Amino acid sequence: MTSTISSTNKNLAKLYKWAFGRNRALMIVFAVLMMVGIVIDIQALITISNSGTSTETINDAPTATVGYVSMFIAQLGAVFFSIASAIHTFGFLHNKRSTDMFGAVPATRSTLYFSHLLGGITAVTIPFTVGSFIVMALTCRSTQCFRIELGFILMGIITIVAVYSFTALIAYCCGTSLDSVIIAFGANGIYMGVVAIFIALAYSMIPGLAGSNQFFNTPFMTLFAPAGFSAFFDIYCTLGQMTAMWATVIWSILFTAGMILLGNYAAKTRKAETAQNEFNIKWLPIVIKAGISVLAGGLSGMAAVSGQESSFSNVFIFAFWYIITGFAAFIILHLVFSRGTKVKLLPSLLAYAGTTAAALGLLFAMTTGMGIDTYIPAESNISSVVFQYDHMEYKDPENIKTIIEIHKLMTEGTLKNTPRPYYMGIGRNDYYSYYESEDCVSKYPLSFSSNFSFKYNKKFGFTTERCYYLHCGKLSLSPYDYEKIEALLRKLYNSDEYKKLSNPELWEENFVERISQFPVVADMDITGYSGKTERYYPTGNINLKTDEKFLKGLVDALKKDILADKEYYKSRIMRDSVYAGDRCYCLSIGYGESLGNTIIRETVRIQVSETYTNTLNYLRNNGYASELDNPSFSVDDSDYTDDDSDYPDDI
Amino acid sequence: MLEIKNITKKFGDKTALENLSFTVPEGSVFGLIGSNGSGKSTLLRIIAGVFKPDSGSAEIDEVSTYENPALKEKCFFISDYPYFYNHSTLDSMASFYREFYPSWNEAKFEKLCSIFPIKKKDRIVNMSKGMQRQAALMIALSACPKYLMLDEIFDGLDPVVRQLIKKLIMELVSDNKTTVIIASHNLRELEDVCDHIGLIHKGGVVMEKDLDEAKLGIHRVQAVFENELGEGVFNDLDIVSVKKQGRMMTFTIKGDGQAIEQAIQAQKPIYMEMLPLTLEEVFISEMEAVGYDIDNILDK
Repeated sequence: MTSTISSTNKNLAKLYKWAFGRNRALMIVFAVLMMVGIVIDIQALITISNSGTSTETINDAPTATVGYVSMFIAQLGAVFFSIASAIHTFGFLHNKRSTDMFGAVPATRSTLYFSHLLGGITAVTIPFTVGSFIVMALTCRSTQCFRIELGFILMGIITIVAVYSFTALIAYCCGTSLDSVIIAFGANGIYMGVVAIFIALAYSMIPGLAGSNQFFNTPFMTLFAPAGFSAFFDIYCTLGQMTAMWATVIWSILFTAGMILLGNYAAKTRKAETAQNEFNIKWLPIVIKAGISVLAGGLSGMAAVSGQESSFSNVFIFAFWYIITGFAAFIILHLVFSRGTKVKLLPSLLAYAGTTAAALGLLFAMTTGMGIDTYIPAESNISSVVFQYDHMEYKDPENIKTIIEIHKLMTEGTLKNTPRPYYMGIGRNDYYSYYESEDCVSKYPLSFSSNFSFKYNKKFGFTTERCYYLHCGKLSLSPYDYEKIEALLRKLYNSDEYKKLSNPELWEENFVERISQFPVVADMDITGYSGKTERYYPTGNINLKTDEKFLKGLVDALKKDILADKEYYKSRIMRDSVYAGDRCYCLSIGYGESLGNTIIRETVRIQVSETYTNTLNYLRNNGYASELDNPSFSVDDSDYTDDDSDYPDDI
Repeated sequence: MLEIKNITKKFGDKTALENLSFTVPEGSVFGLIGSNGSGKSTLLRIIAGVFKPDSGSAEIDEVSTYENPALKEKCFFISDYPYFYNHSTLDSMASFYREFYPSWNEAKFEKLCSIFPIKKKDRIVNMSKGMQRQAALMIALSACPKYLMLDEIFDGLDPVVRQLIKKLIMELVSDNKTTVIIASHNLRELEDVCDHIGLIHKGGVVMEKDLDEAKLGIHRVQAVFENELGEGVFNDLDIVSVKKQGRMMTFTIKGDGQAIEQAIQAQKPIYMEMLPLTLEEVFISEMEAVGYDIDNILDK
């Protein structure tokens, strides 16, 4: 037994050396390209340095970005070279003469498989890893950057192994290298492409999905497309989507293990006589043909419909082009795979028809009976909700309930007046939300202040996202109950949680102490507003003291007033608002940190109304009474220009 | 000892070998002959472990060769079109095989390099078909295998090299007790080098014998008879074919030579001569016996 294992290991080592040698040329090409990339990186770093942007900061964003981009490109290169190398390495399976040679070599099928797999993987991994570490050394200044780029490198290596083992399996399933190339490049692209087409179709038909990023931005996209593992990992990593990132890592490892096991099984069972001949797995070309046909049909169908108004006739235009192009792609691929018309067309044709029917059936079901259009997660399953454009994350159960109610009003409104299956509109599907008159903003200022985006963070890291676009005028369709929606929004924006989320710095435990320690002293001013007109104009500034004691008293008074504010929702509407008249001052607390030549500056701005008695009294008691009440505080309206910069920024 | 046990191999609907069985004696040079598409190359690939039989097995000392690296170290297979990578040289191929064959003989390799007109550093794929075959054989002979399988090894070789190769094969057999199996249509060359032959047709064994025995078991007799022969006079003889040219009759008859001579003499021929058969003639006769002859092919 021991001698058998030892002999197997010896043979593995000998064949590994051989396979590695066979990949030497590819390895050198990849290494040269990596070196060229590094030279470009150095050039970019010199440019950054010459542009005066300081790299001696805690924030190494410019140089780190160069590193991230380089590594992303290197990963893509590694994917390409992995596929090319695997096809080249396992090409011996597709030639009768080389099959004779390797079949007769004193080694088992498993030994042949593992030696070639390891030899090829090493040849791709060495230039990628060495090059990436050089990039990391050149571009990282902070621990965070090192951590991210190290993650990129490790995920790049996992992706190389995943793509290599996946391509090796394909090589074992194919009779010729040409088929392997088509399937290896196709399988990755087809999966992502077909999934993307279906998601885009769902987006184009189901209200609320468009603009939500749901599905496009999940590991689902690369489930069976290893070429996309590292790219999606990078996206999740840089966006800080840790659940998706770790899901990608775990799935990549499981997928790779599965591919290696299947590859070993295919190596043991592959019939040598299939070389230069036929597919070792009969259903593989059928699946690929069906996949590429769906992809080609879907792309041409979407192209035919894109840029047009949402309408039900788009569904038929899409279906027409889907069938025409899909079928053409199917026939071409069939001829390529069968090298003529020898192979029976009927099974493949049935598979294509079946796939198309299933796909269109699924789409029809999605837009009618499956409930995706009206789906809202159960309250008990939601840990938090990110609502609307300002990305505030609500965790208070009462607020979550309110947001769910708003969402329900939208889905119910959509169902009430619109036909199903829905119209089709590529890009987004927002024709249900038009409000009948053009006074929507003045009537429902909170509702029409932004689009309605919902991101429900559920248990175990799952998320559900929807986004509804609202428009004034045009159509007479008015499915949403804006009265109720507006009332719920008022409730939400009057909640203590919203108040704290809208000015989180004020509720930081040591906010005053923190900003007082900055070398650039905090500056404060209070701007008066004209509350007499519909628009509210800045009327002048009072510069306030910035000592810690004064600041602390002011912040405490402000917090008390904000929590007591019964109409806090009004401060959300900053411009063109019917509420503007109530807000008479804007208090700005500015603070900053000097970093070399750069000053990083933050400002907290709070709308102050006459009801903020604690704040106004505190200012009056601290020597600002006359300035607050002095008429000279006002400025002439004629000086006002309609420039956005005169207004405080959105909170 | 190499045993072929009930091997069946199908390629799709086509049966290449069907329940094939025979034994190759240790240290023999076994000529595998047969019609085109009879399954000779398939059989060699099964013995070499390239193909897996659908049923049955090729066994050396009662152990199957398939997926058995230890046994494969004792075997070397040269296919009808030996394979070499684009950049491979005799040197690089030798270094590849050297590691797999414990019995590799470096001195022999060097000697062969001096005998054959092939430079060690030359790219093999740029060489002629015959030169490539020589390169493959140099590697095979240097590996000193216990079992050597050669598929159409004489193809594309000039007569001098063919002689040389036959000599080297005989040397290997005598020095190393190697069992050699040669599949070929070149029966003239096989006749010189083989001591056993196996004839396969349509995936089955037609004949498997010692070459001398095979040649002695079939005879050609030319005879001229004074009178017309009566019906059934040679019923006791296993006549494979009879050809008549004028009064001269040529019989191909299987069986013991003496018995055949006696039976012919009993009909009082004016002239009679027993002629020796070449392997090619034996092959044709045997194939005629199973219905594979020119007349049959043309009739189709």
